[in-house]
Amino acid sequence: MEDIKVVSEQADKDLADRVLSEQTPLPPEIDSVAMEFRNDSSGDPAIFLSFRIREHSRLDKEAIARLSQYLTSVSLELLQKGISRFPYVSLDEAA
Amino acid sequence: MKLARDLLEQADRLARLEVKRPKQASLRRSTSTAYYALFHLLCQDAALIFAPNLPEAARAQLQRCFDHSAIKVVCARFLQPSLPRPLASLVGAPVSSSLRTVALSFVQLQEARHSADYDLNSTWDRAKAAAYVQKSRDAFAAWASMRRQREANVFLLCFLLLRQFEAERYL
Repeated sequence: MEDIKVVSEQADKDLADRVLSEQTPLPPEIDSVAMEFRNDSSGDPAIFLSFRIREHSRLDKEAIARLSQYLTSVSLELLQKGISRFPYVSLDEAA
Repeated sequence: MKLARDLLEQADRLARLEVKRPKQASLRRSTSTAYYALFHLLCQDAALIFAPNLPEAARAQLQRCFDHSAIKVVCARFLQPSLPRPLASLVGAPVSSSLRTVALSFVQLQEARHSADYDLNSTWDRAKAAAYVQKSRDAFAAWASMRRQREANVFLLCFLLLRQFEAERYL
């Protein structure tokens, strides 16, 4: 992945914000999305998106399957639009 | 294929253990196992394509040659908006959404496995673990839909020929 030209964090953040706004509305279980820029375990620059779950959401198997598809579609869209850092996504319960 | 499927089932069971207070160990092992399920699924098919006439035990030996980080690089290349021309002509068509789902899941699950196994400052919750199991399950389904296609053959070929393909500017 080392030959991809990495742009500024702001440029990738703007792209991520744009993709997320195009995929509105967020699934009802998602309260907010947190972004973090750091290297992944291989040392490559990456963007980590944490999709925070609304408290007391009912997360049965169907909901997890739907949310998983949503996270995949956001990730693929980011890559298709040329994000320079690899996108990692996770579903996280409210703290 | 049985080992891969058994691992996926085990990952699912681990994510649902301890109904009221799931243990970090169970949730972390679930994510790690979900990654290994997909890793073995792809390596089993790769070995089958490269050496269909080897007995099963010899093919299992061959599977040990596959390198996690090399497969990650291959997956990332297949996720770029377009493939380099020589590779694109081998694949013959734009990369399908099924293969992109498999490649994406592999890279994201590998990172999650690393975090689950080594990052003790992170906290694992049931939703996170369940979502990673589902990601692996989605990748299994996507792979099943195209594993006999031309693009799947080229994808698996890259696991072993990554360095040669890079030298020849295929990748």
